Amino acid sequence: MTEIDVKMASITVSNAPDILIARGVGSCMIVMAYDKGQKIGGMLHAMLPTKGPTDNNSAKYVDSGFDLLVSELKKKGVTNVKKLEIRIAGAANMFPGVTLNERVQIGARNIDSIRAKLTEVGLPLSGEDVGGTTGRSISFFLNEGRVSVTKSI
Amino acid sequence: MDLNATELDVLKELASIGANAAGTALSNLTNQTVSNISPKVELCEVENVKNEIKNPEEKVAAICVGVFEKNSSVLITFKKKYALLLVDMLMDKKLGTTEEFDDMSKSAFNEMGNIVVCAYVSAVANFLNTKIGVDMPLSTIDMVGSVVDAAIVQIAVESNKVLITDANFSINNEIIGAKIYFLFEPSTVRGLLDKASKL
Repeated sequence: MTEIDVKMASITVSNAPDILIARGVGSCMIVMAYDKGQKIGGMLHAMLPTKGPTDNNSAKYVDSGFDLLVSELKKKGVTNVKKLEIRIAGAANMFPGVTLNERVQIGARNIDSIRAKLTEVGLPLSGEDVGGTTGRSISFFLNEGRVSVTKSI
Repeated sequence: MDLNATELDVLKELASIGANAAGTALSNLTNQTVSNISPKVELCEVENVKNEIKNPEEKVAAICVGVFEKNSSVLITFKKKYALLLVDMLMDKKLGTTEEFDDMSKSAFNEMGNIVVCAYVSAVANFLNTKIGVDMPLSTIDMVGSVVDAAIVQIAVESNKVLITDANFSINNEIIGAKIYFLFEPSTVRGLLDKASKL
């Protein structure tokens, strides 16, 4: 069993019994996909909702990052994408109080982005812990597909 | 955006000026002599800022303020134990009295953070002989990783660099460490460099 830290703007795909961990997540969006049959899972640690035409790192964005996550899982051996269990966590508003500036509401926009993406590809959400105003640490246990979220407050 | 060596030096100098002013503000607030022990300034890629934090789950008290019509922001983080010491100094209590944040100490920290951040920004503005607008400050006490990621995503759409100052303020035999993140948009930093080149 290995604990693997999934860094910001990156994707990690592995199999049981590894644990994928994103520590100290604020407004970033953590997307987890799990193939229960093969016990293969992947975690995306995306920063921003949508990729622009000139951006190059797909894992930095929720929409392009999700596509990349799915293709990485296929490379790892996942055959039936429709059976993937999807869970999301993160996307908090760490500095509540300012609502005028849409830039500080990246968390909310990240949530919208993943929901739109999942509707587009026709995958349901199996679980979520998103929004709020506190940071999270997220662990994804690949031996059973369980996700544990800890908050500091 | 790409910066040449001279431009980078100018930015580092501006960050040092800001950090020293922040130290002076702390001195005035706590009525103590404060020395800023050689602040270290570095320019970091947006994607690496959080990844270079050793323990992203460590609790910090942070102040974030938008500057320049909200195009950029300044974030200051103090490890929680240091923030509590500052609250004690500010409220004239024996050091170590405040063990956990309550409404009063949060408010005191928010006010202190506001003054310190504004001192940083106005020192940079004064040096450049210009005006820099400051937004309402926002504070939080949470994991350092979450605080930093929330602050950097605000500028990550357009910018790829963050200027980080590692400051250590020596106050009353205590070394209070702080990290000051200057998160800017390319147009903002270009404006600052233009002003600096005319000095």
